Amino acid sequence: MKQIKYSLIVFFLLLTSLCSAIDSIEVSSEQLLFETLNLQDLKFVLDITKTPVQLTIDLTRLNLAPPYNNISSLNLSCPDFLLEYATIQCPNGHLKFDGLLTKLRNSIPFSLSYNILTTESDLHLKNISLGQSAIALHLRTNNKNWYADISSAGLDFKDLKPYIEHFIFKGADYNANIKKELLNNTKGYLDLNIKASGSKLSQTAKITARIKKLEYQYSDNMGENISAHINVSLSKKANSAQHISINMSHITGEFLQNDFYIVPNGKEKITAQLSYHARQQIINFTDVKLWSKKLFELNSSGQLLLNSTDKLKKLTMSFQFLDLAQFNQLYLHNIFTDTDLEGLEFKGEVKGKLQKNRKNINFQGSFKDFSSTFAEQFSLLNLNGSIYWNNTSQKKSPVKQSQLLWKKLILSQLPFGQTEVNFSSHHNELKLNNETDIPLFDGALHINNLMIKDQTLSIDGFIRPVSLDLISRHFNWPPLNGQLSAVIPATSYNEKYLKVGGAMMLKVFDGTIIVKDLEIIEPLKSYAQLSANIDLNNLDLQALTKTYNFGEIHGRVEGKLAHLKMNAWQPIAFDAYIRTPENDNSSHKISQRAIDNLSSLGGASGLLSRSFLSFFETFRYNKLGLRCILKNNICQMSGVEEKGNSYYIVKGGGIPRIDVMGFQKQVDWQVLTSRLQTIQQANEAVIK
Amino acid sequence: MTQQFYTRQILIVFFSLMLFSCVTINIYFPAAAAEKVAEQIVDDVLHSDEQPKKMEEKAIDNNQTQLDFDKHFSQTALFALIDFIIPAAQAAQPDISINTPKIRSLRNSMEKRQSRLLPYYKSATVGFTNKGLIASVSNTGLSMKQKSSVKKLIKAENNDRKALYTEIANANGHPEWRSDIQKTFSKTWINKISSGWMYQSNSGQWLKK
Repeated sequence: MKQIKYSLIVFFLLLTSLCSAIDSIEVSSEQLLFETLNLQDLKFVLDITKTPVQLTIDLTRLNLAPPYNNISSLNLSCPDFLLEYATIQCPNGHLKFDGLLTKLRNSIPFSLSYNILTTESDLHLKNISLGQSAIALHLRTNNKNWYADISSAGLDFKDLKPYIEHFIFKGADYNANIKKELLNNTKGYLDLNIKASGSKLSQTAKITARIKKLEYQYSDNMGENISAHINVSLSKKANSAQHISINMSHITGEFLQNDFYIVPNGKEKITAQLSYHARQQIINFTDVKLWSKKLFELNSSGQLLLNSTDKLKKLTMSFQFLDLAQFNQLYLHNIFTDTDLEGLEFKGEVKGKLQKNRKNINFQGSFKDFSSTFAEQFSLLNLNGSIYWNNTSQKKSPVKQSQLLWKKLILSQLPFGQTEVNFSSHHNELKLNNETDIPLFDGALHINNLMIKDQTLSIDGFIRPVSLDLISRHFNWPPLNGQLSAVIPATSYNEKYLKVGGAMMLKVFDGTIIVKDLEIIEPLKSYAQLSANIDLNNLDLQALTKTYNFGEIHGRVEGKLAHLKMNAWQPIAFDAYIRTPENDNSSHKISQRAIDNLSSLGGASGLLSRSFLSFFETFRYNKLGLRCILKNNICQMSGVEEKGNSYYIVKGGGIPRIDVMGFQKQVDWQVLTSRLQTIQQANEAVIK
Repeated sequence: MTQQFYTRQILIVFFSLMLFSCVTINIYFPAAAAEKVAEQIVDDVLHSDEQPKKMEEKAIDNNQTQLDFDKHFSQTALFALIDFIIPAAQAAQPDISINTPKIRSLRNSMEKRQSRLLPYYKSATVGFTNKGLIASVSNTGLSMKQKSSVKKLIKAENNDRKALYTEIANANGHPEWRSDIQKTFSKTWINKISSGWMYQSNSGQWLKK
């Protein structure tokens, strides 16, 4: 380069001394090689007979390396060439050639000024052809610094393909098909301005880009009608790190990435600050941020060690959703539509921070007036509090106690009241720190212990008495009297399997119901499969029959619902009986209506009310009982005692004595349940 | 006399061997029964928006399917008997049960989704593949929101279909039948779709029915 410079100085000094003696200077060369440049048929003509002096240069061919196109038929004309005080000037030059950025013909006005002694130069080029658009270049140099300004408006992406392929994709770690698809399926326009400057000590560049009408597609991912403003600053000082600052704003359009359909509204911004230390092979990143003012912010910073196997040395990620209702409306709604989560809504504020330092990870999050609903299955109202977690053991690195307080929680239509829970969570474990009462109707679910470990929930506790009346009204059941209380023994639940370790006891109808061996496969699915054994102990028939308006029966019953199996919450098999307990001393009375209803279970109805016995309101009985073994939709019926081909359902006692006999030993389960429904509906219509 | 004695001895040994020899029971894939259940499920899904059917009706249909199959089975019993006498292996034709809660749930889910997929079937946006699944044929003319919907609906439908084929095989105690069930369904879907809808030929080419 230096040699060329000195050659030029000698050449022009020679020229100035000779110009008074000759008319024109013509230099021709068939081939000239400058490093990688190969100039063919170069012709240089300086016509000094004209005023001002005219310079023309012709070049048949100049071969360039890809992605550039070979230049051919070059003609440079400088109609007012000036050489004065070691300064060469060509203020109104014109350059024509085929090739360079595309194969098209270029017609480029230019101006040049060059001082041979100071080496200061100033070059303006306009209208460098790149497809339908044009590039303007301003280049200024001296022996210390250089400055370049490149600008273009409306650059078509299709004309940039070879340059994207060469400068961005070549060597980059992208899947070959993705590269090909992106190159073939990307359309759009770009306004671009690059201002770069440099010296021996430093280089800087500022790139301002406006993307318009961008479309792209690869695999199932795509974007349409995308616009964005992008500003990138690059700087590098000698023996120092390279700094990159990226700023994206005014993002609009539609994105479909994996299953996420996102429509930015133009208020989102993306920024990133990166510094690359080449010698240490370290990248520091700070404020890598996606945010929308007063709506949300995702922020991360950290350090990457490129030579290390564990590349991510430090990471701090934070997020804050300041208005989840609006965030839901703007983004989540589009993401959830047509998925199982369609209808999931959020409100309130959530913040969080995740920190990774080598192998230690800490997380903290907070909720402020957070609410969420999902159909009728789930609702959480006004959640406040903070959660803390780390990935080490509690002993190694103690974690702060988490605390959450909600106003109302609805789970599977069960309404839980205001509750504060305190728990600790670390690694793969979450543990409730103290016994907790969660209000449920007028009682409560009391949790003694709750732990989640390895994705399995273990819980034990009890239910403080809840009025059955409130439960029945809430679920729109027939009105129930009495209270429900239960002991919940060690119960475990993982993704598909719920198992109650011991026996669950419910205190209802002045007796107890004990649920044993309860297991449910996929309890949250509609096709849940349940199995259990249930014991009924000393239930008060008066309370039970009054509740179901079956017709009053006084006395006690015991029973079993053994080997119960349910599919999709419908019983498919069991061996069930209820009967008067042995040595039951309670009063045994049965009403006329109860006898009628029991008879109608066997297919007959109103027999008693049509006979003389209808004069009696109640009857005494010795014992009663009914057994049904359900299998293959058939109920194998029997009673408290066999009599020939029939069986006693109620065995009377006293005068007048009445027995209720069953004759059908096999009843279709659907028929039996429909009869029970008929009895219930008929009795509901009775107004006393 | 001696010859008669030997003949009798040989026959006794032959029948004794037959009686005590180990009988291998090969359970072959019951193609006819599988076609019946596939037709039933496919009909229910494709016409779910036209004639909503109750699960009870389906249960009756299931029983009917089984009865039909039993009838078919009795007709083939004679051949099975002959098979028993001649080779030492016996072919058994089990039926196909689709009356499990999970299958019902998957059918419900597919039936619910059908009304959302229908416009895309009609507009030839989504077609039926030769693997018993559905896939995007063309996105032309769709807004991005519709493209997003199509993508998610296809994903959800295919998840259900794959789970259905697996569950039918598992519910019948033959996980190895899964690919045969999927093939049977593939043919049935394509047979049952309306004219104008897109389907994939065996070579993978999209064709209009």
